[in-house]
Amino acid sequence: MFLLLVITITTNAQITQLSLQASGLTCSMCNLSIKKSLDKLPFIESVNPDIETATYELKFKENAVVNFRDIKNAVTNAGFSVAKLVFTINPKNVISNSNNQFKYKEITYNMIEGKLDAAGFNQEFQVVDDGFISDKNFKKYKNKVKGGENVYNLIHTK
Amino acid sequence: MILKYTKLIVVVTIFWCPFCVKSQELFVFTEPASNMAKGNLGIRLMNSFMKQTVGNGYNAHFMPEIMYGISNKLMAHTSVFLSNRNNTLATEGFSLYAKYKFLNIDDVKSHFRMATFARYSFNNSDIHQEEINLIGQNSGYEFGVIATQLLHKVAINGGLSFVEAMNNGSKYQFPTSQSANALNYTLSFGKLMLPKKYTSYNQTNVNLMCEFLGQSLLPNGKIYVDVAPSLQFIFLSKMRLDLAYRQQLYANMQRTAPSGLLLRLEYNFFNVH
Repeated sequence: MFLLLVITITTNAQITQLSLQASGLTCSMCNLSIKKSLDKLPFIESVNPDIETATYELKFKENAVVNFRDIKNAVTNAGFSVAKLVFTINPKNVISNSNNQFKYKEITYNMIEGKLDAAGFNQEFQVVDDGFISDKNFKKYKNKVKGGENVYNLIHTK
Repeated sequence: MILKYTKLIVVVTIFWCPFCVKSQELFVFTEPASNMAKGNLGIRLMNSFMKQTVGNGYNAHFMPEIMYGISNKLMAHTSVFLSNRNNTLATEGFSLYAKYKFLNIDDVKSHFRMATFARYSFNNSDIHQEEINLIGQNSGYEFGVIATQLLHKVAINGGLSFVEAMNNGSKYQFPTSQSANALNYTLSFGKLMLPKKYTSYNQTNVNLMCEFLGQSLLPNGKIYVDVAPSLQFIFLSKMRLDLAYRQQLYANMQRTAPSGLLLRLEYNFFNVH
């Protein structure tokens, strides 16, 4: 009974940082198109770009539900692709955590490499689903990823 | 003669390329396979001053153009043609253009893209040359393919299209003695010269470009080949100024005003829809 209670407690994990790198561009005009497209997303508080590397640091509104696929679509709607999407999560009070997956706000995170250390501090993960990394890199994970609208496949990076 | 100019193009291309180590694809006379962002709107004001081959006069054309990104794969342009050919600036026609990107291979700071496009133009001016030009001279349609390779700051663009000329309104019949259709082919190179390193959207970008533009009339086989070097400035990452000169390299078809200057201003509005 105690175990069941522990498992069903809602997680308080928070996505504290998100960084994405876009591909297919060099120029600042293209870079600004992506920034403007990201700015439109309702859950984004601010977008801080590094034009030289086409990398964007995103901050989110408090208690907002962050949708990675909306972020990816904002980049593709601007005419470009996501080369890398990395986020940091605070695992405090994460309960529904097993060796292979954890849940946060109805989203299942399936671990392809590494795992969430529920007792640790902020940890960084990279999304390796199709469209979130280059086609070349996706080939490495193609046979391991699990599908579903509310499922993301991750590797533990830090 | 053809061989001489073909050699010249090859030599210029070979010598140009090593300097194109870094560049862009916002070409002046051709469109890249890439599209505008979905929901973005662009406005262009283009002026050309082409020297007439007979006499000392210049043909001045003014072409306002609107562009819109319908989706990340589809974009549309519409433009209006005004010219001073009858001594006063008069509206001569319009053009509708759509481009569909069907291949997109992106990597960090590089991409290879392919698109197909179609254009319809209406023009009510008199038909006064063998060259078929849907940008301000002839009524007709055109469809073709474009391929663009971006490698860091270098861009290379190639295009092949079929163009069919029609009567210019009801007043000017297309001459039966002339070829009404042609193949257009283009090869463009671009290089981002400045800034060397990006730190802000407010930095002015300077692009140097060189485009080769050719046409073969079907079926009589007459051709022209032009070269068009250009200098481009991008301000605040949303406004673009093009300064270009188009020079005929070779032609065995009759053309009224093939060489001259082009000046174009473009402004992009983000997220209009």
